[in-house]
Amino acid sequence: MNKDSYKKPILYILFTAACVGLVLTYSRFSPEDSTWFPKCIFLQLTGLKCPGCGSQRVVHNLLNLNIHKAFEANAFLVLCLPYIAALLASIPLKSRFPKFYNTLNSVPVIITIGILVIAWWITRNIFGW
Amino acid sequence: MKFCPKCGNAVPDNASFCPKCGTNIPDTDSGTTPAQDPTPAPQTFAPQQPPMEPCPPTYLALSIIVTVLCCLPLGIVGIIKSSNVSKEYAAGNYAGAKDASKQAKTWSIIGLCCGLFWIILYIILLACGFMAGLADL
Repeated sequence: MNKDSYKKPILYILFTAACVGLVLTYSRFSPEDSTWFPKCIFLQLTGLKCPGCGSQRVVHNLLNLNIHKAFEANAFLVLCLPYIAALLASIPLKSRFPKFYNTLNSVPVIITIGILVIAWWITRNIFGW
Repeated sequence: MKFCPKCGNAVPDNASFCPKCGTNIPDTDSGTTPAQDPTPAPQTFAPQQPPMEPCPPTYLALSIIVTVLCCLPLGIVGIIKSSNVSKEYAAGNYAGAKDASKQAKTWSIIGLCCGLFWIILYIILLACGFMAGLADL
């Protein structure tokens, strides 16, 4: 057995362990209560929110099944989660459903998402969302 | 100078049949040499041909996650590279798509590493008591 055949299984194990650790951490602890959770650099430097601000709180609230609070933390991210989930799902399904993968990754879709992200970025700083 | 469409033998322009094989030679005024394409017309590979292989990985999911969670600027570069993959693939340029895929992967991973580096550094500094002021924000 060569060294390379060890790499993939080890990566998968590490990745799964990291995911489990993150899920346990975020479901048990709220990012608002503890400084251990890193804050957004953009927020710290400019005082303005970036499109991803609040994502840790979204994870915490969704893991605790508090959808309302998740929306309050970052509504756009919550709405994007189905798209991100579909995107992640399309990767292993790429060979069987190439059209699904191609559509989700198509240029018009990416441009739309880009525009929506920028619109959210600006809007949330105007309205304080 | 004409050529017999069957055997390719050169025949005089005014000949109506080939002296070699006896085939009737049609009167062509264009001067094209039919014998020169006895080979079947080659398949023209128009760029709009249906894609040859599945699309190379776009790394779009990774780019988006890096953008939102870790490193905004490099994540955005990753997203742009991911869109290039789709664009090239849709145009039938598989080689270009594969190259864009490599770049998307590179930038996304750099962004991921930068973000993770910052997060880990933050936690270490916090553990050492350096981040008190910043953490109060």
